[in-house]
Amino acid sequence: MERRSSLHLFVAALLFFAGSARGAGIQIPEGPGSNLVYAKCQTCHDLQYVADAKGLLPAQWKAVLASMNDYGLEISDQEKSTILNYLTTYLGPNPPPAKPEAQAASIDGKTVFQQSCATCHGADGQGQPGYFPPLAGNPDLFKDSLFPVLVVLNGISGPITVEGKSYNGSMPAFDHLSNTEIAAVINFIRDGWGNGSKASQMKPVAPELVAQQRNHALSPSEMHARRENMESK
Amino acid sequence: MDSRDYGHLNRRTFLQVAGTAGAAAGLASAPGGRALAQAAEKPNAAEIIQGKSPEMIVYNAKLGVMGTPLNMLREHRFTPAEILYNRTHFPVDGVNKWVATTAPADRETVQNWTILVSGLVQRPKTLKVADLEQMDLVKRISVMQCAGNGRSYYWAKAKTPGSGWEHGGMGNLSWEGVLLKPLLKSLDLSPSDSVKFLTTNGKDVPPVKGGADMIKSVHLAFPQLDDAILAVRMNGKPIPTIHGGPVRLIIPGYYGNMCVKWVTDLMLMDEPTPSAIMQKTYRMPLMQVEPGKFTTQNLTRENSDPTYGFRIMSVVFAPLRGQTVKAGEVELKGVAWNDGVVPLTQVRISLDQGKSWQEAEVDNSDGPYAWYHWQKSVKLDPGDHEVWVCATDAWGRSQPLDGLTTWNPGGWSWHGVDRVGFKAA
Repeated sequence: MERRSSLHLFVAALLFFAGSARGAGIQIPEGPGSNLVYAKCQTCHDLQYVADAKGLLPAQWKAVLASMNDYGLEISDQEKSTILNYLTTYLGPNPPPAKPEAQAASIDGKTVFQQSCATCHGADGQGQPGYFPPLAGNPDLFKDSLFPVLVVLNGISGPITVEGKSYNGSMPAFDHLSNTEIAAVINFIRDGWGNGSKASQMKPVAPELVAQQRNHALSPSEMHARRENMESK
Repeated sequence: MDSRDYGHLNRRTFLQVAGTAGAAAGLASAPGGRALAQAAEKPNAAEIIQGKSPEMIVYNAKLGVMGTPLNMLREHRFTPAEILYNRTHFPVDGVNKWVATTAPADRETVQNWTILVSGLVQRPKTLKVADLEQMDLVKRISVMQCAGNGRSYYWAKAKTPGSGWEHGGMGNLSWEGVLLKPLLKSLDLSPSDSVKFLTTNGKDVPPVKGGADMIKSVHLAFPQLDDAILAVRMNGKPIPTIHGGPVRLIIPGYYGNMCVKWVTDLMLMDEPTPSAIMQKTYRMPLMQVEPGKFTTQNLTRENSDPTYGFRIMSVVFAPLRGQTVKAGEVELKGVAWNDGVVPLTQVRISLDQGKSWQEAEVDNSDGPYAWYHWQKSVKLDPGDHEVWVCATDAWGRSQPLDGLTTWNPGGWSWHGVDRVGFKAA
């Protein structure tokens, strides 16, 4: 009987997540600031709005960014000017021809964190009650060496409970980040805010590990199943 | 009669037309070569909102924004939930995931659902939706339309932000609910004499802290408010959750953003809500404005009006844009509507770019707020043709021959004469 009811729960969970949308996978031209757009804008809408608005005049992009402020976008003045520069250059009326972006000389996990993660998870990894779980002291970081990589590559949405508190935000996939950036940011998070003592027992994430996982996209239900599995270990 | 006769179009034509629409939608979202490959991976509408047709045109997957291809929209007198457009303002994959289905709310949700009626009143009251269902329900057949419907046509002048709707951001629906004003009166609220606005909030919440809520205010004195209902049924069934069930404010003749979904609060107020979704967006400037010189940030209460009632509009349903029809007797068909305050008096068509006009036959049997169905048989030689359609109402309101004259920075309220090119062979 007990077995049967846990099966019921499992089936119910599958049904609940079966209808969840995959990431919309909308891409925007690469350029200085494009990563910031991926990181800041997809909390509230996917990037189809940004891509479809290609051709807006500079004054219009400025107005769009100002209105996003009203809808809850929190960015620093510097981030705002980087994003505005990107939008007016690459999605303005006269975008430059696409060219491969020169690789940044060095990649630093803290910078990636500040650009891509801090908006939702907080500058000190404290999270947002009810929406986004903290990264400081989050046991999910340490149960399974791979899980954080999967979260960054696939995103995760739907309700989760962390340390007895529930969260129901929605994290998009951050697969626009390079393997090196993803490895660096996970290592930075695993070392930060008092997480360090646990991190010392784990091998740092290598870019190759990220590369191996990149081609196996996981659906929201698969991500939750993976997380449940990890919890019970 | 539940479906319209467009039998002269064969199935192959339908598929061709649908294919073209799909390809266009894919292209619109593809900024570069790399993105074209990605477009194929975009989730379809049925994966985003349970119960929707996968044929819907998706404008924003995360927000569940989708429109109806015209070849599907025109087949029904009342637009079925599976193909009705959707605009929600917050992601349908996080805290608001419960809305992402066409299924109605379950019994328990309905039993527990209450609406707080408050504001500038002496005696605030709480309404139960379960009680509303037991009261006398009145029926309202009304067009539901996104204020952004037709936005992509403005882009011929200059790009605006927002979804690139064609004409599929609308539907014709039958709603049933409790007449709003008598209901408010029956509650014995004792409102202040200063009350002028009804402010409505729904259960959906912004995805981030501090985000503007989807909350709207309407003038209680405007005529459509006398016909407004707190609706509990759509097309004869409990309202699909994605479309506002179990309870939605339906102000017939008003754009969708004013018909607040999932109502939890009704407030009688002296001023409209300061929420950005009321004051900074969904507003039409009162004067002609130019791209780049006037942006959405320049919209104020003084220089713009909220998108309340529909601008008078007509659309061609047959032939469809780009279609080839048999030369000879050709039946032109479509729909027209306005804000319902006065009736439409005339729908005219032109086959020579507006030099001469012919009056179409009009069927308005569904009442002042519904689609008026128009049709006109014409004789056409083989070759390229373009039909224009223009509606006029009893106040002399009509559509601009050049819709771009109402270009505005949010791309709202497109109502230009519809111009549809097709071929006769």
